[in-house]
Amino acid sequence: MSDARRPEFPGLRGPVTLALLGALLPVLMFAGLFAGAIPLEIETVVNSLLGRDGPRQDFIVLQSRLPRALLAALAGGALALSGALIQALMRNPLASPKIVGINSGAAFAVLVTAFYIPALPHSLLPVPAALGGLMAGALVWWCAQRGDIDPRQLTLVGLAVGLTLDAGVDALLVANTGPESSAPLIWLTGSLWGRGWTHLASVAPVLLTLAAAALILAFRLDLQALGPRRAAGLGVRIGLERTLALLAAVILASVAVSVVGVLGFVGLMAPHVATRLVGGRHRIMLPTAALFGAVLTVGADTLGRAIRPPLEISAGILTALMGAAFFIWLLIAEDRRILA
Amino acid sequence: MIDLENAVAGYTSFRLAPTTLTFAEGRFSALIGPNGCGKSTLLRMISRQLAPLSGAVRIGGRAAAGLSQKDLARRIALLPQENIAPAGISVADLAGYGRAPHQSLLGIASDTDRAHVARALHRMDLAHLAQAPVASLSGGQRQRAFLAMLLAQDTPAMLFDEPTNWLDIQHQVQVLTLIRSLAAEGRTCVAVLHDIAQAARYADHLVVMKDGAIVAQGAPAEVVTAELVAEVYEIAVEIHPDPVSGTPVPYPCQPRSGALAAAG
Repeated sequence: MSDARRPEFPGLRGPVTLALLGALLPVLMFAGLFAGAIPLEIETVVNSLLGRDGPRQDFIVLQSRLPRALLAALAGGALALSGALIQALMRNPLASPKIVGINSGAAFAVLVTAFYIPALPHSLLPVPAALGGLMAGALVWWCAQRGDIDPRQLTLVGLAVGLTLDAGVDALLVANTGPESSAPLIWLTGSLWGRGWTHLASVAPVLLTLAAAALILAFRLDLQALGPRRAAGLGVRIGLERTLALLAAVILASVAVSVVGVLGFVGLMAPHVATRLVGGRHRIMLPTAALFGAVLTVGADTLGRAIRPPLEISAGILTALMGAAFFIWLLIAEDRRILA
Repeated sequence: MIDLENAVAGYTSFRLAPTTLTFAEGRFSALIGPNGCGKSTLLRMISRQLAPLSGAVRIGGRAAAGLSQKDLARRIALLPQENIAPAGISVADLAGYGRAPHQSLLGIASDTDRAHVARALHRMDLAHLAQAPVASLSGGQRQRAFLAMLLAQDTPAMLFDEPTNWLDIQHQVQVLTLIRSLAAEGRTCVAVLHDIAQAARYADHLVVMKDGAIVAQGAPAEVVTAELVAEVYEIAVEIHPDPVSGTPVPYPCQPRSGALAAAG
């Protein structure tokens, strides 16, 4: 084996990548303030942001596009973190919150609530979403426990649970056709349309707390990624720590889904890209994945508004397009690595 | 020191006979026996991956069942058979994980931790590959990287499940010599080995298992006899001393091209 096949992870690569992504994110968010049904001049945007005199569009900039950009960043980061946690726990590079059925569980629960408890304020939707995600996660876990299934095979159980819940989502949509079902349909495709400060306020505390906890305990994920037996041999209380990490992953993804809809592939792509960029140590990989997920989602949302205004293309449609290409590339790359 | 007292290892479908056994400190003990005789199951019970169905396991005089997971990981370490590493971690990262039981939940490495990792890498001849991704290593290098993790864990008791599998002869000798020197440092070393001659040559103490029970134990020269090999492995052998070490080596009686005349 030649030394050329041994890419190393020099110490600076992580911090530099983080700094670049950290600089790219606000730039993209700023760019997002211009795009949309009503294109704005730079002067107008800056005046509104800074509260200066002159031409301003306070409502569009401050009440619509700014919270939307922040929400896209937050939700994208949360989905990416959730994916990274799930991939570490399941030791399966193809696992993600969508593939193991969490997103579908959250979506199903949100739709049930929206159709049958319409009085519930939108700011409380993250609660049924988290419950739905947990239900799907518990179902997957229960099936796995009964069959003594290897965590790596959990993906298949998750796929089955996810498909069943997707069928439930379709049934709900068919049963509730009418003017009230168009908003859920847009949301289902992974759209930030109509999201504002109240949505941000309803999800930010939970997502930021869980993200901080995941980053602080990143080292424990390193150990879990070695597999349950090795982790236990290194002092990990595997039952407890695995359950906590799984809970965090489920809540991160389902709360994100409650505001941005089923934004597929972010949770699958971000951890992979992060691992390739900075290596697999979670202390550096998790923040990289979160920032990459944020960049991806903010970018997709901005692009979706810029392509053909006043039409909006859902961010989820764009991430799915990117994700499909990425998925195929990943399979080929993995295959080549195994064959090499 | 590891003590087993009437300890029963197993699952609902398969269990070993009650075992009373002592692995002394400062000694290299080898577990041998045919495939499926329960060696790995016994090792998994000793390392508490598998709770004993009855009886007791004591590590350094303390009941293993009463230790916290972290205390256990400071007293005993196991090198399992499979060695799959996560993507994107370096050899030094992997060895560093061995320090986890000596660190807080945050996993901040102290100078002591770094010194242990450096020594472990040096000892496994991996210092020059410290920053290489584990995924890029050859099978033998990877096995040594996981051994470095075990050394960094620095426990008084160390268990090895078939540590020489997949290794070339020079690395087999390196690993077996390493286990001898770990025992010489006063640690309790237990290894599952496949090769009787190798076990007899390197271990101080042999424990022979068949069908989930211990059938013989003692010094290699006393344990490895033609009768025992015939009984345990169901094959007729002659025993001759190893020309270098003088330890017993079994040679199958059946000639290479002969008929399949099974003994036993």
